[in-house]
Amino acid sequence: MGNPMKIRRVYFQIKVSDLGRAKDFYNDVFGFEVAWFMDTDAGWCEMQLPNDARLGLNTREPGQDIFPSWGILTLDVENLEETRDYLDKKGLKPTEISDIPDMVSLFNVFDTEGNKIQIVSDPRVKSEEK
Amino acid sequence: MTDIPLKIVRVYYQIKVDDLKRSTDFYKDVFGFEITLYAGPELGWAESTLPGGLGLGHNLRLPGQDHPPSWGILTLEVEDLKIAWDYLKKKGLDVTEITETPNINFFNTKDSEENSIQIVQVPK
Repeated sequence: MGNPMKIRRVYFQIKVSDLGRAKDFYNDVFGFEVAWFMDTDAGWCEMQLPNDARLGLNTREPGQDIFPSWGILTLDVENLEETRDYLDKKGLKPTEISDIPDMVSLFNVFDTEGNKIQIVSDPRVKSEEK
Repeated sequence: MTDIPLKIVRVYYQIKVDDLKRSTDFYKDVFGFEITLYAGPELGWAESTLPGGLGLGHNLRLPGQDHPPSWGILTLEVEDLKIAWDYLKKKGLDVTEITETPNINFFNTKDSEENSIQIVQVPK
């Protein structure tokens, strides 16, 4: 079976309790530049890694567990529906696609070892232009 | 920005696995990630290449070791481990002692949010 997935970028996501503090930490200590940051309310920030990869800082939800080795391999693809169909046919049981308007559309699968993989794309749902 | 003496050679993302071959085969079959290193179960390590030349490290789970579904560690391979260790220590980070093995030398630290970061260097 051919692989229709066109991966545009690889992300490593981690959970953070304080988005601004984490952003400053990775910039100060490792020199990673901020690639995308709207505001702390968005709960998401991207730091540029070598090889065009990005480190995704994801604000922890209240009460959400945080492990010192929390992390999710995240693949940004060109076509989310085609990718989901492909992974479904491969027997991976992908979750339904979630849409976060103006930010991202995504679904999750698990590898053979139980590791979560998140597949994301540009948002399918956009607010109407004013 | 001040000069940062830590020179990153490559970025890895490590995941925990129960079966190295099954895991590397899965990522090759489903995502097309080529297997670039298969050290085998005795060493507990294998590597696939992600787009852009990044590494996906398959790390064999030890007996009794926890394995949440979102286990993952950002791993930075550096040119000089001691320089990186000294630098991060001076930055006030908690750093473990350097562990040396025939195949890899490394230490661990944590970010401001308590996420683990592993710094590694391939022995010269």
